[in-house]
Amino acid sequence: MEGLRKSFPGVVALDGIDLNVREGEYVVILGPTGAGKTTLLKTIAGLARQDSGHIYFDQQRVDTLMPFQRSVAYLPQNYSLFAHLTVWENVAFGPTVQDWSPRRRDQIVREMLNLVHLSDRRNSLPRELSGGMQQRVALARALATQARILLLDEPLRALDARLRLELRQELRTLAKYLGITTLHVTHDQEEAISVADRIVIIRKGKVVQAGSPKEVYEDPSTPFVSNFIGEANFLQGLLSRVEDGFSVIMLSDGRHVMGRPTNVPVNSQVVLGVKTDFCNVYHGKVEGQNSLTGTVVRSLFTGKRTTLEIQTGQGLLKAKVPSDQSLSEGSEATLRFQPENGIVYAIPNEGLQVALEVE
Amino acid sequence: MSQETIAEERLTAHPRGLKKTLLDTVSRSRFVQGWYTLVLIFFVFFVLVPTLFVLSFLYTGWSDLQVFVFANASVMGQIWSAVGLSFGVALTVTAIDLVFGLPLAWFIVRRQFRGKSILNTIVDSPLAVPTAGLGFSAALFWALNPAVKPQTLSLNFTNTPFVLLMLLHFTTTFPYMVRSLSAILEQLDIEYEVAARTLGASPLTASRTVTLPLFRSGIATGAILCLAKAMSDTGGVQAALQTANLFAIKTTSCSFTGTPSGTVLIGAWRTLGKACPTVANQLNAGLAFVAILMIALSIGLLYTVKLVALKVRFPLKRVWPGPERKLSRGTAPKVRDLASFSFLIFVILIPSFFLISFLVTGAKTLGNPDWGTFGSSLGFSFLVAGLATSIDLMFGVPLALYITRGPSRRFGSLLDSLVNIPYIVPSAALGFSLFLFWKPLVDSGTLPILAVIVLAHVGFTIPFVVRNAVGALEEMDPGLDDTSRTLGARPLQAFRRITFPVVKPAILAGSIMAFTRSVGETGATLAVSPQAITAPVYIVNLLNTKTGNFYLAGLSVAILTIVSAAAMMSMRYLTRRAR
Repeated sequence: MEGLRKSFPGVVALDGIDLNVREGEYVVILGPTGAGKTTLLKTIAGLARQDSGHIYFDQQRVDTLMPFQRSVAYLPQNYSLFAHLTVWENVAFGPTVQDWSPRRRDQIVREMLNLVHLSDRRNSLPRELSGGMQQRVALARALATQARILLLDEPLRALDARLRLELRQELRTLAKYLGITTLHVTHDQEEAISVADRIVIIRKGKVVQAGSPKEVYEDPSTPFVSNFIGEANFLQGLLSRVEDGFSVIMLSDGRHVMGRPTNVPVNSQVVLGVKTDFCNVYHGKVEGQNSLTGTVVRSLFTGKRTTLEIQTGQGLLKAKVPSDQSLSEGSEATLRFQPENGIVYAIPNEGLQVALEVE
Repeated sequence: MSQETIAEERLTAHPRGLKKTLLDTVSRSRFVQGWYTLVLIFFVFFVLVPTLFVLSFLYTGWSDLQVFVFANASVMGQIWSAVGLSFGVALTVTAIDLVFGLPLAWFIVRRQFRGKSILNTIVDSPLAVPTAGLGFSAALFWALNPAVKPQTLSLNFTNTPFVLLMLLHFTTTFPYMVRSLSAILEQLDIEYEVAARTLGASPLTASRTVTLPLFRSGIATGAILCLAKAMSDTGGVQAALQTANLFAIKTTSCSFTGTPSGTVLIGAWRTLGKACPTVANQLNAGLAFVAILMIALSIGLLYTVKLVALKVRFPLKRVWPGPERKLSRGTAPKVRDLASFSFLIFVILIPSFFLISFLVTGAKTLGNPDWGTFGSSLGFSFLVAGLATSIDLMFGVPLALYITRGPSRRFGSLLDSLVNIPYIVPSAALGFSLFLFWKPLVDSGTLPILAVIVLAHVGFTIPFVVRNAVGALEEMDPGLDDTSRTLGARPLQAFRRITFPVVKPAILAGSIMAFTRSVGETGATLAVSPQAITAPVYIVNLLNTKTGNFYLAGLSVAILTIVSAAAMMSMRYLTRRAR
């Protein structure tokens, strides 16, 4: 599949999306609700039509074809299992409407049901199955068409948290085993990081960044990505100079912090983003490079880690620290980070607040 | 599975031969569009335009109208009193139905008790009796001087047409009211009321200020159904008036005696027009004017009702906690429930089935029963209903698909409201309009009159099929259809294998409603052709003091009722199985 491009200059639109997906790749499309993710999948499947732009599979243009001619298996959010058909009939639906020989059809249905461990439930109706089983039936049904491309629209959304963790690995293993090219849409960054070969982050109908999970986590290209994958603190200031290969930024109170080098010109307003995961917290006031002192206003215990919210001269900053290094509310604390972890961006045109908005 | 085998599978993965060619042809978007266009053309030119065609008489027959109608005080008087009677009765009946229907619907939905489904069936039961039968039965019960010897239990209560017709139309409309109110009430979450009551509201305050405002659409549908049904009814009114000795057509003197309703006037003038060709032109002009009036007034009235019920803000927010608390406790709710149930028993059930008493105790004078004519009229009714229902299905289902899934949502909802017009328009007016529209073709012998009758029945029955199908399609998850198409189904396959099985029960229920409604229809048939004898027309003709045979009419009603009841039972069974 090459050169996937389309643009909808509309309201709820895909605003000129360019995307290349390699054969057999597991790509996760990540974006907040309303970013256009489902529209993108529906357009690829042929259920919605783009206003302009083209879609190619193997250099062959497919955007004029009807859904049944595209060889794309689409798994909608709520699975859309056919309630009046049994598990077996659901899975056999694709082969049946495509008029395969009964022998081939039965063979593939059997194979797919084995693959998702549901052979013993073949005569059940969808409503008699649990949520996880329904999800697997829908998956088997999609795979039984032997499509080249699998489109998963929030496949784990309706499941409870524990099942979600189990099934997301199963999904990836299955897709890789069958060698099928997969586009998996989600708004859950953790899910995206754990299953993707490559993550494509879209927002307001545009691709913001595409790259491996490690890349988008460690080198977010915009403040939005930085805050969306994990959570980040932002410090605004003036880029005063470049020193020892680091950017030096003067904050509003006249103090300096250092971050990674940047191609933003010296003497312009910048914002430095640092992941809360990369922030350390010390008790009391600690002087030194990249340290900001303030008062712990809230401490949220989440198990192994604790999120501390510290009110500093630069606003409320957060840090995720190991729970054994937690500080009590009201105590004085200093937040520090390594210059390599501070990424410097030009101030977004629309303002930082708007640039971070998830909706 | 390896890549090679997948590729190999793909090669054989599509239908072969003739089946493939056929599927591909009908799946092509041009074919689909062509079919939709055909359906739209049918709806517009065979249903909508003919229904409203009589309005063109204002232009083409203006001089006739002036000479024969406007200048003729006695004709104008007959028209105004008839139309006034129709609308006055319909409005009064709807208001009273609402008052007694609301507590009953509330009781049925909110209370848990044994025999709930039996009560439901009892409330629906008058629907199984054809309206001509209800008219006969109600008149026997209420009328002061019925044409046949009063029965032992009859009340000998009234011979005012307005009161008699009001009492009759309670039986024909009350089930519709209760049914639409309870359908909406069923969907309303009781949690709202519970929340209001935990906040300190008395039951009356809670239901009045919280549930009732959420309930407007139910009241609107109920009111519209009742109004349309009461205004539209011909057979019931004519049967009741004739049985009560308040109306008679005299073909010998080319006139009628008594005070008919608007629809009965249409039927009477059509009959007289056939019998007395000399006054046919005059009568035609009068007919056109009645039809125009009824069409315009009914559409206007029903849209007003809809608007009032949905848009106007009633002063519901004021609360009188003290009095309302008192009304919620003690005897007041009991009195309310008792009143509703008494209404159900004494005003709806007994009059509806009073005919049974006549059949059992009445003078069994069958005379020389003409079973042949009865048989053929029954056959004719079923033929018309069968044809009409088939056409309803053929065009109504695609029309519903177009409304819900069509390219333009706006056009879809416009179409959705247009579909209701033939239902709202009194069926006798619709029948006359269709008669005028197709007259040239019928006169030249190109079009059999049967076709026009069937088309008239399609007009007022197709909304049942479209409404039900639209409802089911809107509830259906559109993802099902989408998914099946990505799985390789062509549009036709997706419809046949996925969409149709899901909406089938609703469509079947709709077509059974269409069928029973068609079998019971009198006015439209009479207005198209006074000589076409369907079963209800046959019954109405029997209810005639001079030449009639009341006992035979009663028996015919019983037979027709049994047939309708069987159809309704099967409908219940089908819709229940769907759940």
